[in-house]
Amino acid sequence: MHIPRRGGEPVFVDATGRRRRLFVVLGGSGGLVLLLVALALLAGFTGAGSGGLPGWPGSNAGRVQGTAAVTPSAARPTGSAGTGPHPLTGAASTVAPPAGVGASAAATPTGASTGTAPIPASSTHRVVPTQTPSGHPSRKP
Amino acid sequence: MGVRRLRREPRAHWVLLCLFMLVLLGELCLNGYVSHVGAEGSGPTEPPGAGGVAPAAVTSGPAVQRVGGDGSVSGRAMPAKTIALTFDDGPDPVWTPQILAVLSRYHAHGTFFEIGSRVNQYPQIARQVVAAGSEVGSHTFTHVQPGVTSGWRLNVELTLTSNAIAAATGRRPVLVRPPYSSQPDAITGADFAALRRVGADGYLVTLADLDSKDWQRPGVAAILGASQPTGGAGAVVMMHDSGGDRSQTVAALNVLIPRLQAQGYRFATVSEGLGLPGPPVASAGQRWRGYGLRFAQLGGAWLARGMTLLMLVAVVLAAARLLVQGFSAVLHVRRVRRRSRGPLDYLGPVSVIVPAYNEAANIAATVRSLVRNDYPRLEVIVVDDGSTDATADIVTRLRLPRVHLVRQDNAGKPAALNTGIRYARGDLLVLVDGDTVFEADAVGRLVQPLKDPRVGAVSGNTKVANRKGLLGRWQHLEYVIGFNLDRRMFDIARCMPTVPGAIGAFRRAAVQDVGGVSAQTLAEDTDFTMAVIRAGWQVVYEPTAVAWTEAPATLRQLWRQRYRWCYGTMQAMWKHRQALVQRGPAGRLGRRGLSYLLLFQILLPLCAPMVDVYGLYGLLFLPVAKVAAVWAGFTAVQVATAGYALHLDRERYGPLWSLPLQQIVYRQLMYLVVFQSTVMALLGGRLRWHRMARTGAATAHARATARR
Repeated sequence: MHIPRRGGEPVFVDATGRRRRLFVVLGGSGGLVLLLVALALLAGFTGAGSGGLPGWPGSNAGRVQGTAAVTPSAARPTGSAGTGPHPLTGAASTVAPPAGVGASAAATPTGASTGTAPIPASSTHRVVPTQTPSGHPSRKP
Repeated sequence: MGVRRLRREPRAHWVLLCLFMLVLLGELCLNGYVSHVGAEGSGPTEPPGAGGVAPAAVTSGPAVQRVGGDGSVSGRAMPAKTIALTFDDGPDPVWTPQILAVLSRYHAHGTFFEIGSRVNQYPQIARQVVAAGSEVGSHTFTHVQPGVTSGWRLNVELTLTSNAIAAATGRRPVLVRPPYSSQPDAITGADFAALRRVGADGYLVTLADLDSKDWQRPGVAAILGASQPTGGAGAVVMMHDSGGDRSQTVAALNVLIPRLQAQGYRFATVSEGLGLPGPPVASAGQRWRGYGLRFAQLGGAWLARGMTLLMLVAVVLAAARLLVQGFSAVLHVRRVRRRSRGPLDYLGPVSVIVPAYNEAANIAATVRSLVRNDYPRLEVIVVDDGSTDATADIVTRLRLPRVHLVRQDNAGKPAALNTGIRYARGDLLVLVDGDTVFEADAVGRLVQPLKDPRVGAVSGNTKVANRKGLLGRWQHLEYVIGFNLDRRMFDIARCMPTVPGAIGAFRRAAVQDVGGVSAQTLAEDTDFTMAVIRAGWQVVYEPTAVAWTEAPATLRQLWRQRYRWCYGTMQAMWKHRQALVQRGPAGRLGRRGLSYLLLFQILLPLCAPMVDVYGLYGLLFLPVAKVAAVWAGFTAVQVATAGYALHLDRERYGPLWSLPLQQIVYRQLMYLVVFQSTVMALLGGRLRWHRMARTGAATAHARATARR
């Protein structure tokens, strides 16, 4: 039986090198695009707050001075003025008097542990459960 | 093969793949974070009074406070007869424009505390707010409660939101309204710690004097009642322009603004009310960071949707394939049963051709098993393809009758096969790898389908001899599934793409029709089979003709073998691509066989890395129960399929336990091979012929079975 010798270049072999160059360029461009996308992805997480507050006099003012400027009665229209349906007003009226400001303003954030924050109404503090935005269109099924 | 110009193996595609997977994971994670996927209860879970106590300077301070990083507090209240309407949770494409319209009707301004991720979704709404003279503040990126959020995450939330607002409006927000906040007296110790962080970042915390509670939709009258200060005092009023139906808010504003304006009130932004300059112009750098963020967020959403679609398509395709395979398997089992009724027929002399290159470990067992076959007239032709080991000597020393040794210089397996075919005297040719051990009735059973003069080639059933260890078990299962489901389907659909080199029978006329075995591809068996089908011959599968083969025992060897198979199959597919548009048997091969290979052996494996990334994303962001259920479902189907294949092959079910573990290493190896092959095919370089080192496992198996 005659079986001819099968010649021919192996499939896919790029004799001219043109295809190789094309795909090297394509791959390089793809890599560049990926790098740009990665950059865009990371960029949004960078950049910190400026720290400066235009128009806020003495934004780093002393504690006592800062709080002394506040007149709670004028600043708190919801205070004991009593706007009927507010369940908060009852709690608000029990807030420590301005006399305690100096002491408590110096307190650390976890004032309770230092014992220098004589606010008896702590149990009435609550978190307001406002509506959480929902129904994002991109939510996964 | 001609002159081999071996270039350095390219590596850059692995870097690209890693980068792609990282970017995909990052994008999906951003989307998961933004869409609250898997967020454990999106509301606050803190019980009342938790988080300690905040300083009285805060809790009894005014609505707008500057909390320094050192804990210093200074505050300002709205002047008398001044209302700062504030709207949280926007922008919203429905309600924000309606609220802006009401404000505009009464020449009033408001302050909108917007959620950063929503600003990215609706930047044009945020721009409308600024264009209408109102102010935009920050309400964090995903509406997190600052008091229970870790410090670094709060910082990230603020930065992201600032960048998003800068990109949308061109201005940097200065005001922050902490989500879930209300009046100052609700601030807890934990909240205060968070506010110090907010203040240290340069923001003014804007709480509220009056909380309209409009999000509860208490009715227009109730909203009005809660939003009006008494005694002419100024106030920051909290409302919402998103998060649900806000028609009550809009209706209340339509009454509130004219009523209070009639009492001499003015409606200003928070900054206007306090006499502060508005939000400063954002730097170009910050705007660009914001553009990047918006692009990434929207891109992430698109990718997540695309991935869902891809998974859906893959599941549907897999289900369809399973149905077709099950159906064809049942049909094929019946067909084989009909065919194998009665004794085996003698169909004329058979020439068994064994191309061997450095097969010293197995060749003796292979040849012995062939000679021991019960087929009446059988000659064995071993073609030694220039082995550098003792392959030829071993065959000579066997001194077996009906065994002929032909030597040639190393010219590759296709050339060795052609040499053997030239030397053969029988009209039925059985092609066997040098590492395969035949069962005693394998040759007789293998040639039976050739009774049908339309059949040009028959595929036998290859089984893995070395099934020890995970790798052996995995390959054993893969072979059983491939031969008992895939091949039966190919047989029924008459589009068998490969008669394996390990065990296949060919009619001499068919071999002549296609002019012998071509050396143009690395998978000469696939190339050869496709050519036979395109020449008009039928190719069928005979499951009862069993040959034992030695499977690669290490991952490296497996990689090399699969790389050669995959690249070779791609070459054969490309070589025979004309079959797609041909008529008759060739068209069947093209449209059924080639499409199947393209879809299930190239395209889906190429998408598989993305599926793995999606799986990782699922672990991080989707409910664990859901992920576990999906995984269990897929595994159950996989195990059931493999179990059916084992049943068809009368194999034990023992190795099934190793199937779920395939997901970890084996699966990745299988799809990375496809990726590597695809890249190499595109680049068009020459490949070395990858060989695996033989250990003689098939021989050991033959001895073991012989002793039985």
